[in-house]
Amino acid sequence: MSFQFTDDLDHNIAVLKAQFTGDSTFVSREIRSPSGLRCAIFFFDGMVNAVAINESIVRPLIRETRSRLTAEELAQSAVQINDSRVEPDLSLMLASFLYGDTVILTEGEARPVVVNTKGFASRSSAEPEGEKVLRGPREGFTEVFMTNLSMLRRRLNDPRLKFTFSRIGERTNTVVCLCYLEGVADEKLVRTVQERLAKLHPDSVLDSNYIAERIRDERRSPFPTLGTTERPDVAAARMLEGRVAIVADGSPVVLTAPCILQECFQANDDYYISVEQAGLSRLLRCAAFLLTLTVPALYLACVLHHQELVPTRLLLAISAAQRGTPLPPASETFLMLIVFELLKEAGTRTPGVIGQTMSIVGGLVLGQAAVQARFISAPAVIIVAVAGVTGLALPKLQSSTTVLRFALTAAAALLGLYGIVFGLALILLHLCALDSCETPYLLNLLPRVHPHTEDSYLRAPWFQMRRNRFLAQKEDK
Amino acid sequence: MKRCFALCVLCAALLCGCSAENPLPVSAAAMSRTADGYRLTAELIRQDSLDGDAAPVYLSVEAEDLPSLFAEAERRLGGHFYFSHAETVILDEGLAEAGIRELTGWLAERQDARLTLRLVVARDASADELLQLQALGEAIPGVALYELLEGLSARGDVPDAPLYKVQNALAQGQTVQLPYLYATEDEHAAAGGAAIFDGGCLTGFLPKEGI
Repeated sequence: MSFQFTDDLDHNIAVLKAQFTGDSTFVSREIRSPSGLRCAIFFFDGMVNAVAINESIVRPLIRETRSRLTAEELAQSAVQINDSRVEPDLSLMLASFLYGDTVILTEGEARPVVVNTKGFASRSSAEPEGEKVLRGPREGFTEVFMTNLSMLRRRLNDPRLKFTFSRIGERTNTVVCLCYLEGVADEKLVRTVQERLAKLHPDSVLDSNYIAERIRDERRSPFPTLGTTERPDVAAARMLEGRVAIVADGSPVVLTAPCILQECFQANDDYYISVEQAGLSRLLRCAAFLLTLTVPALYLACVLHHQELVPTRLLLAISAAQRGTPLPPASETFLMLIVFELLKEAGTRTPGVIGQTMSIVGGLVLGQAAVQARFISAPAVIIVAVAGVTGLALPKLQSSTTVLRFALTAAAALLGLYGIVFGLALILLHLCALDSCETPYLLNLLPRVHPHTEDSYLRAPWFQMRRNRFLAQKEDK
Repeated sequence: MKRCFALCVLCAALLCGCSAENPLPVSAAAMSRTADGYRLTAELIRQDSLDGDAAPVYLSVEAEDLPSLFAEAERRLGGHFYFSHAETVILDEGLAEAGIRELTGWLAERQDARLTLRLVVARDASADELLQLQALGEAIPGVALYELLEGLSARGDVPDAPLYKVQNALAQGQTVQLPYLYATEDEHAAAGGAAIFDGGCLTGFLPKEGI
């Protein structure tokens, strides 16, 4: 810290003003009471609750009958706000001050008083766009840190729910909270995550992904090794299963660890709808995963290398469709895969109605026109559409399936079915070797790895589900 | 280095299939002996557009030996003689009498011939003619012929003799039975009964009732 407070209030005011020269939102206000008490309050415009400052700080200080107050007296008996404290550590004072708290300095006292007057505008909670459910809670995390923690606390009314704060980011000084249920989460897991967080020294943390990419296992893996959610009910459920959650200020995305592959096949409302419907949906998602990875690859392998495997009539249809098109099958399939990703990207980035219109124009009209104009063969369009649509059934694996689909398609184009088998074997090997916070990534999906679960490919009905159904090592006492 | 490698793989992947041809699949073939060697008539299927129906085209080639037959066919086509989808081969009576051991052995060795390929013998008609007779159930005579043989062998009306069974029987010195075809008066191909082979050579025919 480049400044120090002294007993001299004028000096202290000058020091703090100098620190924030050029910042027009910085407000300093000097207060003199009739009794002779001199104080100065400092806050940032727009970050504070002005009513609270006027009613609970300025008014009591002006009416103060004592002519001199210590920092403790100021915090405990003068200011009428529940959360006020003497903060001798100037770095902590600055962090609170920059985050909407008000700093009070008084004559003859070098220690500032920090009062919680946060009152910045924030978005209200809404259902997360990327995690919609058919049935169940619609609440979503917001960008406001304490609101997010309150959402978790509301769902887990348990004194063993722990919130451990730390600050990460030299410039952003972002508050990060590690949440877990003591006795349910494995102590080793909590320690591991705490250590990883403690080792972080980034310049800034503007979203939880800044942390996720730094602390997750196998950072180069296309598979997510750290879970994410924008829903407090999902975060609470994962904590009940023995995971830990990481909440970062300013981000509506909460990280959960460990993350296993099984999570990626679970939908948010799997536990809110009937067990039969949930089971069927989960099986469909498993099928969708295989289809989205292999359909373009199988098509190319059959068309280019193993035509004898294609039924005669289908071969004739494919052959007829490809007559007159300028590109060979591999090139047009790659081209269509890229166009599909472009359309998806454009649709995601384009707001509301325009995005939908663009998807329709891009997907339907352009596709139909391209086939009619013989730019692209119809089977390639169908294959890419099937791969794309099935990929959308697994939002948590979208980025990994996109990468792997391209890789498998290239392998199939080069080596045919041998390439696909080789590629799939590599993926399986990678998955087997993958860990998330020392938990096997294929937990619950392979019979010999931690098999005691009622929630794997299908989930058991709630009345058959044991309490500790995931990886909690300890009994829930 | 890794980027260069990835780029090379990507470029190579894009080039894959540049040489891919639109094959004309062979649905059926007829084989007969000539004075100098063999004659092959193949039924190829053409489908130029999704809107039109598939149409058969016939290609006849002659050569001194069996391997040269396919080479000659490829030379005439200017591309791959795509035999992988062929399901039936009609053998001329003369060829059957001379012996089918060499033919079945050669077919079984070929990678593109299916082991489920059905062999039939043409009786009282040339194999070429039988192959090109108008089909009843299908637009493509070769495809119709295969479905006819499948149906009849499932009912036990004609011997069930795919290539692998014939090859096994010949290897073990057993008598071989193949279905035989004849042309009806209204010029359709019909299956009769069984053609009997002893030592790989045609020795006679059995009517349907005798099977």
